[in-house]
Amino acid sequence: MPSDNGALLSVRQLNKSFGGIKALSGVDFEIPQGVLAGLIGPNGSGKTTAFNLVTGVLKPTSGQIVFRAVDVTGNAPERNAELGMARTFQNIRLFRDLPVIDNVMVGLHMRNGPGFWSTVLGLPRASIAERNIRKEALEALEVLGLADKAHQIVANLPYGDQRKVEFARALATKPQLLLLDEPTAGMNPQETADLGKTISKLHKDLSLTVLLVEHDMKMVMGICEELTVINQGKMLASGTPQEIQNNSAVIDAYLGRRREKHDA
Amino acid sequence: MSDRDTFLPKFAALALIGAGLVFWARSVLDPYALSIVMFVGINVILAVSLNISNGFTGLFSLGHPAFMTIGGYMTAILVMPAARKGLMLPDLPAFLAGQEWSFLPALLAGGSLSALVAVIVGFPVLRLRGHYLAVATLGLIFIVQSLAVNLDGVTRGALGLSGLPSLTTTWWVYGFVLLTLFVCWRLKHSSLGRTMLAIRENELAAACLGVRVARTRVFAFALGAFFAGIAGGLWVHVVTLISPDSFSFGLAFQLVVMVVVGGTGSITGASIVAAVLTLATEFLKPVEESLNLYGASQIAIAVGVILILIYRPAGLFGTAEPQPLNLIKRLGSRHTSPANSPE
Ligand SMILES: Nc1ncnc2c1ncn2[C@@H]1O[C@H](COP(=O)(O)OP(=O)(O)OP(=O)(O)O)[C@@H](O)[C@H]1O
Ligand SMILES: [Mg+2]
Repeated sequence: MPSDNGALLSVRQLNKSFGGIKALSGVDFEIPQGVLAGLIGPNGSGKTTAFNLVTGVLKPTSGQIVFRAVDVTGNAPERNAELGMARTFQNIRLFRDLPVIDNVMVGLHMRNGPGFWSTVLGLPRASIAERNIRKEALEALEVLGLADKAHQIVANLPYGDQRKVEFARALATKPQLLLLDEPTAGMNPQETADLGKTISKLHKDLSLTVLLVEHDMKMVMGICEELTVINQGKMLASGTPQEIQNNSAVIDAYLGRRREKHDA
Repeated sequence: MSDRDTFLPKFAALALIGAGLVFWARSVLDPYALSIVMFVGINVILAVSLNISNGFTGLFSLGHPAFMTIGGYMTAILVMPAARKGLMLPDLPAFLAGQEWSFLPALLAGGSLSALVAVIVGFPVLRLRGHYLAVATLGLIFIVQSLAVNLDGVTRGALGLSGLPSLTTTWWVYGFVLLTLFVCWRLKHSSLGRTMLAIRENELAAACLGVRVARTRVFAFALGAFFAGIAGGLWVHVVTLISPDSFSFGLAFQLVVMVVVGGTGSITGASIVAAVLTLATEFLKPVEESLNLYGASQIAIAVGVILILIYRPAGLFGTAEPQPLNLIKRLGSRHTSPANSPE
């Protein structure tokens, strides 16, 4: 049933099992339009699985996902992308043998790409579309500070830049909802801080709705407006960063986890 | 961009040079040598079109011979004089028996039927990946062959259709070589072509960017099949014969070799390797006959292929297209520099 409370994305009673493993059980959260939200939890708590379910990469075992008042549960990723979801991947998934700019341009085909006949016949419409695609791709790269690397083969870039290319590629689709899965993993503290600023600026300038998965708590607490915490596939808490920081269940989950690691 | 602006004049210039070469070949070569030239051209069409699915889109298809068979029969039946059809294929359905098409529309019909079959089998078969897809397309070759044997009302079964008119000329072949190169070049350097490369590189990421993966894969497969169907029609009107086993697994293997050695995704690479392999096979034939070493040429080629793949696993050209004009410029500067230097 479509949501009527104005949330851009609502996830209801989401369950996902992999064989015997219950990766997610009964997860509920909502992301209002225009909010920079965070999804946090210890390793293996199911954050990436939640992304995969929302974007349609995986089908939920049960539960419902509503995006822009449309039930998108079980949709193909192509369809969700058309509806306005864009994501990055925790394990980088770039088109490795292609130049940086081509990686980004792929994301613009969906809305701007000319069809087969105008391509082959070289119609003006096709060359105009191609020019626009290139221009918009370059703009997205500029946002991430990668314009000068546009023509390098993406596989040859350092790890941090590769993450930024994924970010630019997602951004170029002009999404309604941008899902970032650990966008700063592998970056140094300076790069991490810069990227945090970029995310927050994009969110403000474009009033872009963002769902961020991130282990860097300083960044999460600094830029997110709302947080959802999951642990071992279950809802732990949700609220503002202040509320979460003072939530004893959350503190236990994180500290308990850390204590286990020290014991081992 | 600039590449696009200069593409048409560049292509036209190269096409004219090629036309000059064809004209010259026709005036100096004997019919046998000309038939070799035609096979070079047909193999270029086949290798470059197989590159759409196998090179651009990363589908390991072995199905080209199946589409050549379909296109070959379709074209042969459509152009065959009605009187001859009455004798050779008395059981032909009425809607085909009366047809007597000229060569060009018949070729296009053969290509279109192949593309249609590719679309129909594509949706289920292209769900498979890697080796499974290779095996399934191999199965397609055998299915088409056994249909050709068993639909004897249309195909004359295992006997095949012989005494076909030798309609294919170097000009026809050259025209379709140009068409294939033109379409593939435009495609590769377009947004649509980029989505194909994206599917090859990372299917899931492409899907999450809104690329219609299944549809694009079927489209790539069908476009390749279209050209394979035309190549089949050209081929059978060179050899004036088609039978169910005219195009078989061995050919599929050769074509895949051309694509892989040329560089998966490189139009230039596939063309060059297709031409070189066709000529090498032809010229090594008399050598092995005189030395009594039958099959040696195939072994030599296979060893060459293995060596190339060991030393250049991405093929000779990778996905790249070397720029002939830049190459000429570079060669030119090499020639002029010694002249400028003091002797
Ligand atoms: N495709 C899969 N097949 C089987 N099990 C999976 C699969 N994907 C995730 N899991 C399991 O589901 C659980 C949740 O994993 P998930 O990757 O969603 O966690 P996460 O919160 O993203 O962790 P991290 O912070 O380490 O990225 C883990 O136990 C994981 O092993
Ligand atoms: Mg994860």
